Amino acid sequence: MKIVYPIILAAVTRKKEEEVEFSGDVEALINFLCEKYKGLKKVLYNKEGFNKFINIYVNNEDIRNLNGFETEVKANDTVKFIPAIAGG
Amino acid sequence: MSDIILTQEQIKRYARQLIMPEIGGKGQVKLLKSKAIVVGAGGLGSAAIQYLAGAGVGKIGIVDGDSVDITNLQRQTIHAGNLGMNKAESAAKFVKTLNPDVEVEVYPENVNVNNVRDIIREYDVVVDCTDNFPSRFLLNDACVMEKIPLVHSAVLRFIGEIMTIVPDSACYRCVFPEAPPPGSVPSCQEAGIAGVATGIFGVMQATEAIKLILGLEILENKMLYADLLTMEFDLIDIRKDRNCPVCSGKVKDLQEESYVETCRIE
Amino acid sequence: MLRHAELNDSNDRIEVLDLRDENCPFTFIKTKLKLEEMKKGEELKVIFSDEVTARDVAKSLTSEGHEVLEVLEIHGAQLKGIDGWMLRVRCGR
Repeated sequence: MKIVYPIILAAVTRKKEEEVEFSGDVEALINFLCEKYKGLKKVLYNKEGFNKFINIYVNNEDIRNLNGFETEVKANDTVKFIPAIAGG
Repeated sequence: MSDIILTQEQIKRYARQLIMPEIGGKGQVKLLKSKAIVVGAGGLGSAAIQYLAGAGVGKIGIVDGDSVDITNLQRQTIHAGNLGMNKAESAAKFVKTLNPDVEVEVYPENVNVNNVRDIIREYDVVVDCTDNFPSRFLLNDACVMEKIPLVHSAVLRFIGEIMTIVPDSACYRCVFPEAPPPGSVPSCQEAGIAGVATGIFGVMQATEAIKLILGLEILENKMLYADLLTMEFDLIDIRKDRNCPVCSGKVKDLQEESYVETCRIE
Repeated sequence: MLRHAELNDSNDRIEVLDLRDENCPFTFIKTKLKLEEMKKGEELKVIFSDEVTARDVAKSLTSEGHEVLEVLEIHGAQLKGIDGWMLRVRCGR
């Protein structure tokens, strides 16, 4: 599946997108990525949990409209992390 | 008796859009009678203001408390020649030169909890061209409370997003309930901003405002998200959040403390 | 030049628009604006200075869904002393 990283995550992963072999739910995918990239957890989480200013989309659908962190992701899916931005 | 009253000069000025079925004489009259307020005359605002003025939006309000600085000229092209001038005044000067049909109201200040609802109230559409989270959440909340449509857009480097919020649609907080804590994500000054990104998205904001005035299809319950590096444009469906404190009607007044730090409303 | 009002008798439900003094694209735009004000099925007569203009506008109006009834040369005797080319069109929408 394809993972697309915004600027703040790409700063850790050193890439804007990548193909990964994975199946499971979004929660497990995030754990997998945090294992792979050491600084990632600090950007994605705060002491209250996953940062609410970062939205996760599976095939352009917000996971909040699917099954949240239990949304299943599979081979041909595209997962995007989109944080709030404010530039103008 | 005719509903379409255009002067000879206006028929010439708007010739290119009068012949379009989506606009025509009736649409032009709608535009000339409409009022749009652009909050922020920076990157997004400069681009939006140009095309709103060109199209003949009858009244354009321009809100900006800053002055034109040389770092602005990489993207805020309407301020050419106006270094040091208040940006709202500078933008107004441009509009008056381009199109004398347009009445401009200048607000040489920034929006805050105390002034925003009064400022926006008379307008048909608000265009959010600000550059910080507190202003964006403030405008969203004020527009929902005043029931005035809002065209939101934001950019960073080559990335941009745009959505239109109307009464009963999803609002900005339905997408992002809170802002990043200050310092956790780079600002434009730190990460940079491509002039072309503000140009493209600012003009798209003008597009949405014009379509709204004409009754054409808009990005309601949809967000357009684009990466200009790859030229991927995605249309993402948005749903109204039943728990959204603002567009559910639960919060009816603007509170100062809602626009600091993460701008979260509990 | 006869003004629009003078060309239409008060009993006459077919409107006449005199665009002999107009250049392209205003020949088309003004015809279009007039049709926008009319109801479907109503007829409009437009007078142009020359045949090419009349026929070009006719073609544009057809592609917009209006029904061109005829294009013809007119002389003083037919219509209040006007020489020119008349386009008769029925409002299509």
